[in-house]
Amino acid sequence: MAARTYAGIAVAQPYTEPYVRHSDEGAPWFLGRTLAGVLRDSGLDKDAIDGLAVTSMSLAPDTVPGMVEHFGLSPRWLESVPYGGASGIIALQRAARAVQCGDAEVVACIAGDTMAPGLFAAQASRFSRFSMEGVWPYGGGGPNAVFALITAAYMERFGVGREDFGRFCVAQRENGSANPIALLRAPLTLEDYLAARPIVEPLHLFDCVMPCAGGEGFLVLREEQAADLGLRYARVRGIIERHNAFPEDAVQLRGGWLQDRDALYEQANAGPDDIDFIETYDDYPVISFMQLEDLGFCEKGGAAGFMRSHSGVVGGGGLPHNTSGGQLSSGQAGFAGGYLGLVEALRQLTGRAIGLQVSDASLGLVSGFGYVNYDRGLCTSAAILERADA
Amino acid sequence: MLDLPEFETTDMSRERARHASEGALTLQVCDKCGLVQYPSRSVCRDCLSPALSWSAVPTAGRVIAMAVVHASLHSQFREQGPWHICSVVLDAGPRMLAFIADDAIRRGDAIEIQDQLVGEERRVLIAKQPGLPGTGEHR
Repeated sequence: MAARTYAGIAVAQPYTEPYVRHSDEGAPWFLGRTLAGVLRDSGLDKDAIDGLAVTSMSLAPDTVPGMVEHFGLSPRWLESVPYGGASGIIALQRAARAVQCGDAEVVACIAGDTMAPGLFAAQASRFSRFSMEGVWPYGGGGPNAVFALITAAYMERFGVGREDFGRFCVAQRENGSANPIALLRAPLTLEDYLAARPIVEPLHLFDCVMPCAGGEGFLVLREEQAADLGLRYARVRGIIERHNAFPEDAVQLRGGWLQDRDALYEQANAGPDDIDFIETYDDYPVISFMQLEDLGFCEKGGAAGFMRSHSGVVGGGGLPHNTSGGQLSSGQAGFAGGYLGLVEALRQLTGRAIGLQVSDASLGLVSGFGYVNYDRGLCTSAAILERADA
Repeated sequence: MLDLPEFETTDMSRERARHASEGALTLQVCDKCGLVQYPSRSVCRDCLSPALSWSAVPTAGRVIAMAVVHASLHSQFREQGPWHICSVVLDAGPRMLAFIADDAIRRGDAIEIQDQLVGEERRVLIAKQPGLPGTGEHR
């Protein structure tokens, strides 16, 4: 049975609490500043928020209900969304259904994380029982080790070279250079990319997302209410999620997007050719390559070839890809909850890009990926969003 | 004896170390459906039975991918690195990470997994060429 549509739902007020490499503040600071930013920019009172969805990887010993007390909210709907980089889209899905069903009227979806020297290593060393037994003892590489093995397998299987990943990173940085809130804005050349120091071979420095602190948020409400409030917003044309797809694959060369893409395009009544820009989850280039393939923009193993005619640079011809520079330029706040691409898509679709604006963008595709419990990312999500005045 | 830094263990990994014996690869096997399990877990991945017994399983497997850890997040691993690692699919089923025992091993090769004691309650897996005696030395 096809999923119900998201008719009548508005996604509004993208907000980013600017990222910093390290912070002495805790995750509640970034979540609180994000909520305050969403409220300030929307003109809504705190009391108007009767639903809250929260994602954070660095909240302990605090909790999602604890944040409600911290922020002085009394919502009738509260959701914890702990799916790593798949979280933003999943939070949107939960919030949209809650608003459609009348369980909440205005939902704030927020992600926030802190970062301190040593925190990333501490998180990686105790991420899960499976990773503590099966991954960490093998050199303490953390997620870089898992994604190095995936990248190596992908490179050999599809004949992809470092320069293919490099071209992607260089193009993303070109977008990121125009984004004043990206942490890494210095232009990157293919020579810089290739000469970078190895992290876990075949991954080198510019393949690896930089952990940092920051926050992202948006509002989900009914279209009429958004219009009454004078908010620009985007509509939801379709959402998919999947957890632990293809568990028998020896190594992760595909993700849940492949399993669910037909459902996504059916919900959206659109196909890859109709998409004006894409925001993929770029913790490592190979994962963006997989998303292009599994979401049907090219055949399996064809992403490197696709990128030769679609560099991803806004205004560069072809499909704009990671228009704010992605996480590889912006940094990754606590796995970013996967909010970065979603918030950027909302900016693009409401004509309010901070950096480069895609002209006449009416349909954007965002995808998320998260949670490396052992040797692969478990959670995938994707959404197609539409400009409301299109 | 492999010289490895200290790393944290879990209830499950200590349990595996307690049941292990030299010269064998000891993993959980489901009493009900026979599925071999790794990483160690509480219930069978297939039938969800909690009746998992520690058993010696065949050590043969195949190398799926290889990587070299240079920038470890663990300070002692970082000092002693780089570390050559691989992902392996055992013929018996499970996927596992392992250290690579020697230079000759390539992706796609058939290997044997050696289960090596490190300290009192830590165990790590090492991929070595079939039939060769384990050196216990990491490449």
